[in-house]
Amino acid sequence: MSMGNKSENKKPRFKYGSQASKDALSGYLYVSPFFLLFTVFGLFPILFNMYVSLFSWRLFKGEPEFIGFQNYVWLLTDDPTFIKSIVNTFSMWFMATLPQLFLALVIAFVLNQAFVKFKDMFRMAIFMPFVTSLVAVTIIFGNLFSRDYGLINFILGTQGLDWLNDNRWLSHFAITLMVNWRWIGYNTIIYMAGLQTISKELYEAATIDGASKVQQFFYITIPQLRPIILFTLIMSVSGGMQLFVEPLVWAGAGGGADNQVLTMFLYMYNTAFGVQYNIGYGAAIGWVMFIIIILFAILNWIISTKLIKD
Amino acid sequence: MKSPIGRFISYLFLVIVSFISVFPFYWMFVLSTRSNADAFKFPPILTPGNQFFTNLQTAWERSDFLTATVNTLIITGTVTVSQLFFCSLAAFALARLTFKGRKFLLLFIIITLTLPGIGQIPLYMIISKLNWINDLRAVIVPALVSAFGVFLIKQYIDASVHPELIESAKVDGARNFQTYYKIVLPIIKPGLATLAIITFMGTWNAFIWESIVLRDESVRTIQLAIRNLQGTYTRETAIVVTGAFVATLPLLAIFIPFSRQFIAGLAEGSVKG
Amino acid sequence: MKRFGLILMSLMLLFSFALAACSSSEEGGEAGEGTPEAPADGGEEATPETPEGVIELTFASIANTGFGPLIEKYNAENENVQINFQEQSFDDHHNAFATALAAGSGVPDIAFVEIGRLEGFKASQDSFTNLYDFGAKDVTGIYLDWKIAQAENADGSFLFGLPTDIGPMAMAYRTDIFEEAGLPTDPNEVSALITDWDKYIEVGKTVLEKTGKPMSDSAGTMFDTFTGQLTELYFTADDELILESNAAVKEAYDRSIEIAQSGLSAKLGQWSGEWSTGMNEGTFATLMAPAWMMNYMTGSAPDASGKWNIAQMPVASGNWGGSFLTVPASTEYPQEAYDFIEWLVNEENSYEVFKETGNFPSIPGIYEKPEIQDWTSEYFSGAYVGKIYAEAALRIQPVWLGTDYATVHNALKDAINNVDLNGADPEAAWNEAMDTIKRELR
Repeated sequence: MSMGNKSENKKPRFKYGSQASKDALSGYLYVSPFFLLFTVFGLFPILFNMYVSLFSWRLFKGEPEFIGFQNYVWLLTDDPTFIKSIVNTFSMWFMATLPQLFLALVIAFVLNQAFVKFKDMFRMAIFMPFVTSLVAVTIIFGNLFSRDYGLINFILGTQGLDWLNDNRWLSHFAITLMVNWRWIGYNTIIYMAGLQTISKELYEAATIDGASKVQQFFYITIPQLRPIILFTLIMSVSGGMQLFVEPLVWAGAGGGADNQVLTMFLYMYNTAFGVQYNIGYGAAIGWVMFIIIILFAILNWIISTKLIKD
Repeated sequence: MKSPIGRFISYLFLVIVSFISVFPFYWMFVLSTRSNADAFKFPPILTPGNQFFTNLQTAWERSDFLTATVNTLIITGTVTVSQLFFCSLAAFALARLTFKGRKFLLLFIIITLTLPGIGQIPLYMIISKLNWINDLRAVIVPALVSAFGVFLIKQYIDASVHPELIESAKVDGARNFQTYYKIVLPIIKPGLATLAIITFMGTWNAFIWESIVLRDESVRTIQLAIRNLQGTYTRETAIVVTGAFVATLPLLAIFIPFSRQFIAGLAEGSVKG
Repeated sequence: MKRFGLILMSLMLLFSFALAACSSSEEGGEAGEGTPEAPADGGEEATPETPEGVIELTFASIANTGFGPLIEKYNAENENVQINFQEQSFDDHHNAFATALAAGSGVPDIAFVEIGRLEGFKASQDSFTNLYDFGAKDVTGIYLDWKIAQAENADGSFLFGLPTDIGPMAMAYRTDIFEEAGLPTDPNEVSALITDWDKYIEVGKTVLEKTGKPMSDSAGTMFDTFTGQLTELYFTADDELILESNAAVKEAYDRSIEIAQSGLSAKLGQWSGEWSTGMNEGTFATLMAPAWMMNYMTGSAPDASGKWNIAQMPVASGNWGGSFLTVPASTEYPQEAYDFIEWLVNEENSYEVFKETGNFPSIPGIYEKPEIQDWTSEYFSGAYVGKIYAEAALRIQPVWLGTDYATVHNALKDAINNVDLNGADPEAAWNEAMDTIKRELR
C-alpha cells in the first residue's frame, strides 16, 4: 500500500527486504502459474478468434476472404436466429438461477443446523447429481421427459405432452430442471464450505436476542456469505450464458426445429462446427456473446452488492 | 431449532430434495438392468430387471475400461493436486498481498471465466506443435490451474481469513510463503475441499476436448470409453447407461471418504471469528 | 523470500518432469509414441517411423466397424507397414478429424468418413489424396457406380475415398395394421398397390380412417426419402444454388407438408426414444428403412418381431448413410495408405465385414453369395431381406449433392419438423427456411 513511498529511492526500486517488495515479488510469483498457462494456451486462441472473425471463413470451403466487420454487422442487424438465441439464453438463465442459488443456500443452511442427523447421507445424496456423467444425465432426462413413455408425463398424468415442442417456455422450463438438478448440489457444497467461516457466536448471540432461524438466515447467513454468494452468482452468469450441452443433447445441434432451445453458445458451436463450418461467423458470435456476458456480469455484481449488505 | 415442527419440516425438506437428487440414479440402475427396448415402455417399468451382467459384459468387451480408469485417475489426480496448490497460492496473493496491478490481474482472471470461444482449432494447433496429440499432457497441462479455482479460493479467503491475521503474522516475521502455508491453508481447508471435489468431478466427467486430442485406445478416458459403446446406426441405451452407471461407482467410492474428510474439516471449526 | 521462490520454482519444474515421466511411461508399450521425433517433423504425430524403417500408419475410425480382426491380420502379414487403429464414437471421430484437418496438423494417415460428412469436405480437395493417382482406377469397377460417384468430385477426376458400406432403402410396413385396414399384406401385392407417392398418401388416408393410426413415422423422414429419390437436388455440379428453380424440391416439400397436416405423420423424431417405441408398439404403419435399420429395429423394438414386412419403395430406391475410407493429403505415405485401404475393402474382406456386422456391402459381387441370397428375417415375417436390399442397391440413381447440401437440407427439414411438431404455418416456414439458407450461405 505504501509502494509509492518506497519506490522514491531510485536504486534499487524497492528497498531490498522491505515488506512491500517482498509482497510484490511473491504476489507476482504466486499468480505467475496462471498467467504462464494462460499465455501458452489461452492467448493464442483469443487472438486467433479476433482475427478469424474479420473474415468470411468457412472451413474446407476455399480461401478465407477479408470482410472487416461485416460478420458483426450481419449478426447485429440481420440475424433473427441470433436474437432468438439471446432471448432463449436469458429466459433459461432467469428460470434457473434464482431458484438454484436460493435452494442451495437453504439446503446448506438446514444441513448446517446442529440438530440434523445423517448429515453425511443427505450431503452425499444431494451432491450425487454432480457426480454423474453428462452422457448419462442426458439419456436419463431424455427418457424422463419423453412425450409418449416418460415417467414425468406418467406421474403428472399428461401423457402426450411434448415438453420440447408444445411450447417454447415449457421447453425452457424442462432444460431449467435438468440444469438445476445437476447444479443445486454443487452450489450447496460451495455454500456449506462458506458457512464454516461464520462464527457460531454470531448465531448464539442472535438466538439470545430472540431471532428466529429464518431471521438468522436472512440477517446473518446471507450477509456473511456475501463473497461466496457473489462467486456463485458470477459463476452462474458465466455458466448459464454458456449453456449448451443440455439443449444440444436433448434437442440437437439446432436447438429444436423452431430453435426453441437454441442458446447463444450452441448457436456459435453449431455455426462453427455444425454442417456449415463457418468459423468466421462463429468467432463473431463468440465476441458479441462475450460483450453481453461481461455487461450482464457487471450488472449482476452491482445489483447484488447493493442488495446484500453487511 | 427447538420446535419439533421446525425439525420435521427441515427433515421433510431434506428427504424430498435427496429423493429428487437420487432418483435419476435409481433410474439409471433400472435401465442398466434391462434391455434396450425396456427403456421405452409405457407405463415406465420401475423395477430392476436381470440383464445387468449381460449389459456389463457387452460394455466390458467393447471398451477397455481398465486402461481408461488408469488414464482418468492420472488425469484427475494430477489436475486436482495441481489446482489446489496453484489456485490457492494465486488466490492468497490476490486476496491478501498488496502489489501493483493486483486489481487488474483479478479482473483479468474473472474476465477469462466469461470468455466463450471456438478455441478448439487454435488450441489443437498448439497441442499438436508440442507433440501432445494422443498424450495425456494435452488434457492435463492446460488444466493445471484455472481461473475458476483462483476466483473461488480468493472469495473464500475474503470471507474467512481476516487481514489482521496476516498482518500479525508479518509482524511476527513470517515470510509470505510461511504465512500462506501455516496460517492461510489451515483456515481455508473447507474451501480447498470444495475445490478438490469440484475439480475432481469436473475433470472426471469432461469429454469434449478429450475426444479431440485423445484418440488412441491407450490414452482413452472413461467418458470416451462410454461414448464408444454407442454404435453408428443403433441405439444402445441399456449398454451406454450400464457403462455410465458402473463408471460412476468409483467416483462415489472416492467421494464418500473424501466427504468425511470434508466434514472433519468443518468440525474443527477452524475459523477464528 | 528468495528461498521460497526457489522452492516454488523447483516444485513447478519437478512437477513438469513428473508429468513428462508419467505420460511417457504411460506409452512405454507403444512403438514410436513417446519418443521425441525430429524437430523438422513439425508436430506430425501421425506418422512416426521406428528405427528399422517400419512405416506406421494411423487409421482414425468410428467404433464397431468390424475392421479390428482384419487389421490384426494385415499387421501380422505385413512387416514393413503397421496400422495403428484408433476407434472413437461416431461424433467424436468426425469432430476430431475435422478439427485436425482444419488445424492442418496431427491428421491421421487414413480416415473413415461418413457420406454426410464427406460432402462438407469435398470443396477442400487439397486436404485429401486423389486415390485415382494411386491405382484406384483398377478397383472402382467392383463397387456400385453410384457409390463411387458419391466419393468423386463434380467432374469425376478426383476420388476422395473407397467405399465401405451402404444404406439402400426399402419400405417396411406393419402387417397387422395393413390387415386391420383391409389392405393386402403380401409384399408383392403391397408393391402393386403403392406404386407412387400419391398412392401412398391415398393408402395412408385409408389406414388412418380404418385404424386411426398414421402412415409414417414423421414428415421429416418422408422428406428425406422424397429428396433422396431426386437426381437433381439443391445444387448443380458447379455448386450453383438451384433450390428455388427446382420444382421437384417444392413438390417434395408440399407432399411432406400434406403428410404432416392430414394426420399421416406420427410426429416421431428420428433417433428419439419415441421412434423406437413407435416401431415396437406399432403406432404407425410404414417406415422407409435402410438396410441397417434392421439391426436398429431388432435391438430397439424387439416386441414387434414378425409384425413387420418389407417391400420395395415406390417410385425409386434411395440411400441413407454409408461411409468411405479416405487418405488425407498430409500423410507421408500415400501409396502405403492406399494399398492398405484397397486391401481392407476388397471383395473378400468386405464380405467378411458383412458377415461380422451385417453392414450392407457396396460390392455387387457379394450380392450373389448365399449369405445375401438366402438371407431371410423372422422379424420381417420371413422376408428375403438380403435379396430385397440387394435389388434396392442396384436401383439407386446417383445425385450431386454439393458442399452446402447439409446447410440447405437441414433448413428445409427444420421447416418441415416445425410444421409437423410445432404446428407452424407451411408457407411461413418455407419462407423462413429460404431466408435462413440465404443468410447461412452468404
